[in-house]
Amino acid sequence: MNRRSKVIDVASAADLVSDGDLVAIGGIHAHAAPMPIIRELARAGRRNLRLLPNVSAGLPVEVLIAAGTVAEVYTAYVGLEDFGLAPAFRAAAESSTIVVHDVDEPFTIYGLKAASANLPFMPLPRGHEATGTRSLSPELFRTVVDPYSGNEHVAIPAMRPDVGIVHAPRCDRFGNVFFDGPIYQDDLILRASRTAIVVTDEIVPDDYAASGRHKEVTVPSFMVSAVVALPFAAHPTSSAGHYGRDERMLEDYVRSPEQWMARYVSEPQDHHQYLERVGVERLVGTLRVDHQPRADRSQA
Amino acid sequence: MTETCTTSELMAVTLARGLRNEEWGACGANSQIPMAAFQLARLMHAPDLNWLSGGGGAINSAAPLVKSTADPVTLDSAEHSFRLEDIVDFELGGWRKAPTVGIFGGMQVDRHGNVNMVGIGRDYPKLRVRGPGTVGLVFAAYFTRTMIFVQRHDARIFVDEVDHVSAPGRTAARREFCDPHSDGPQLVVTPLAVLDFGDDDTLRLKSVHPGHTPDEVRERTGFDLPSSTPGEVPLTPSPTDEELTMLRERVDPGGALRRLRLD
Repeated sequence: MNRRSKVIDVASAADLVSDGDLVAIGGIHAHAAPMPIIRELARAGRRNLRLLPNVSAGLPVEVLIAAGTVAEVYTAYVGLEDFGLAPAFRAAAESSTIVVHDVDEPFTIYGLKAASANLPFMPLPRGHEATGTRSLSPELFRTVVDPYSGNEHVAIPAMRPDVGIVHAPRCDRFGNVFFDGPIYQDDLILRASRTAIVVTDEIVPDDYAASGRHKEVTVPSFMVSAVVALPFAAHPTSSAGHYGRDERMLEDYVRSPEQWMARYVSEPQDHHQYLERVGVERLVGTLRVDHQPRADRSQA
Repeated sequence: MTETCTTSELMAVTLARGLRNEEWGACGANSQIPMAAFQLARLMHAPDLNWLSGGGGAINSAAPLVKSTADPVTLDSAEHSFRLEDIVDFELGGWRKAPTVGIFGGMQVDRHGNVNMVGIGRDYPKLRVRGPGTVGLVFAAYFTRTMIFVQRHDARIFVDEVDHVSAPGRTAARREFCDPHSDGPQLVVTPLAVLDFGDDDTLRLKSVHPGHTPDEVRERTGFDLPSSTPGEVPLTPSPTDEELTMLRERVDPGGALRRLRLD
């Protein structure tokens, strides 16, 4: 009997997400966002999603909010880094169309860490009390007494996503994941989520991981439920070793979010139509594969 | 100094001089100026300073000054990479062998050095301007010390009291809850001036950058700003020839700082 491949198409992967699910999204800023599934969820019209995005999320959260799929966001940061505030998040939050839970980096990371270690919560070292964040989300940041010292500590509940979706540059078809660049919190997302999906640019051969590369496999196959393999699987965000972020796409988004949503999210029916709309010139322009001799590179 | 430097270069040099050898430093997103400061300090007086480039986890990166500090290219010239779990463990005070220093900015900074990134407006959650969120500003409660930098200086940023405390400044809450070795903000570097703190833990005007006046700085600050020293407010010391050469030839040959837009 042959080992089972976990490779499925993007529509089937989106079907793993149900209305009302708590969905974790990997990457950070405009890097390693699992955009093909995000666009598919937006087109499919999921409702009432509760997002636990990466600790500095931008475009994937924008697309899901702009498409009306989101009810709540656990927000450590939603913005567009050097491109400024996130317009759809801002509008939805200011008009109370979505519920924003103000949290922080320790909340998202230790919430996932507690879930992946099967712990009910994680206490924090004292100091968090000096911020005002707890007063914004008192139901999330509760306190617990250390049974050893008797001291009170702020606690963070285990956050177990129904579905976690991350991007990795490479993966094998069984689900062994190679994060060739930064791992961000994506190892925790795959460990903590009930259903864990990886979107990848490249499927490596079946015998690749077990050929002396066990240290490169950041997350093992049995923590991954499904794999979606597509060219430019993170575009317009970056993929380590493959391509950089597409800054013109981000500029275009900020300039006219509604037109951008129509052109790149609602109208293309699949990933290939999306790539056609982006165009060869722009896609090739993001590649970080170096075709120049090294001596010329410093001039670039 | 024979050549004129830009304001962003002056800010980077000022922050670099504030860094100490054998400290461990970190910056957040969109932080070309702090990134330059860490790299310059390592080349000048602090070869044993270690630093983290934003959420990408690159330790001691010699990467070009990319706009996005979490860009995977920062790992190409890094000694190590932290996962976010490592970053949170470390920045909450775990594993520490040396003092730590964070450099960050925000939407509002007040006279005590509190920083707000949640949004503008006290009536939560009905904010007038919804901000991006607190991100890693909580770590200001755990770093040994911090420095604040902003790329705009006006009375909308420098307010008497922040609407929400994302990073605690020099406050009673810090004294009550934080480790006694966590001293809070030490310096604020802006496109106009350098601010420090007096004995009463409120901000003062330490120096103004060449081309600006104390009156201009005070007009564009939303609270009273006494001088740090008696007499005339000094000019921010310019980079030395060696600093500027190092900055332009080793840290930023691509000229990212010279192109950076400041308001």
